Amino acid sequence: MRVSFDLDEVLFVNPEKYEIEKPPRFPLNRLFPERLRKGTVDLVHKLQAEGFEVWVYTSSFRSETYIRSLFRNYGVRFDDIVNGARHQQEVQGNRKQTLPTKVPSFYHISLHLDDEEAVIRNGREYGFKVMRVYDPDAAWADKILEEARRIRAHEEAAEKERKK
Amino acid sequence: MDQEKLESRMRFAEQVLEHHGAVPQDINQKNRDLLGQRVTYLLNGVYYRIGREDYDGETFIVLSAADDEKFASIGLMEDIQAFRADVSDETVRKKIREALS
Repeated sequence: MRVSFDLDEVLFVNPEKYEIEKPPRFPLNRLFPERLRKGTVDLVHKLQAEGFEVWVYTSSFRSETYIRSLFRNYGVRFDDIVNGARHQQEVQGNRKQTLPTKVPSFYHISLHLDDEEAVIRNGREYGFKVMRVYDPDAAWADKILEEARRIRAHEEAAEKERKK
Repeated sequence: MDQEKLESRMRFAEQVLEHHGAVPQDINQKNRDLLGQRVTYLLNGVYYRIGREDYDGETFIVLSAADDEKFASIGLMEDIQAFRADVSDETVRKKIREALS
């Protein structure tokens, strides 16, 4: 099962408001000014250890190489990355109708984590699951793990039902 | 570090890129002429360029990258690795290997 994370305000947070992961050493802390929400590294590792594929799905235009390089400094390797450019090319493509900025279901992502209310609304309209992550919350990682496990159990039960 | 030594260290970093299979590209000529940007390389669909940057009075060699040729061709890249210009050859190899992994 695939889980995806938005970046800005979800994994990248303002250090004045949120607890953060220890930044990379100088000078990499200058090259990569984004700061990670505390608990990100552990959460991604736990999800991957439990067999979830962990993706980034962001509307930002940071390149895939930059995102991979940034997270490498924290020992995190995502299974795949969808940035604004990839979404434009693969999801929006030449469609006349303007699609939302994120359509996780296009990539068979079962749970997407995002801070924006609009993405949650789009989830209801376009049929994909979004969990809102925004305010500082010491239990945020546990809640995500719990929700991912719950959705997987539900998907597995539905799959069994289909096979009957 | 004098200019000649720095040039030699940046050239060494480019040779390490070439050793990994990076191929020099005939792009970004305008910025190479106007701004002194160095040659752009292509490896596994990603464009790379070696450059220099000063942080807190120290000179660093910087590896920049772009996924898209249209950005690479106008010299628009993101910095993804940096190391002091005077580090050993082995450290240069290690830092570049890490960045390409």
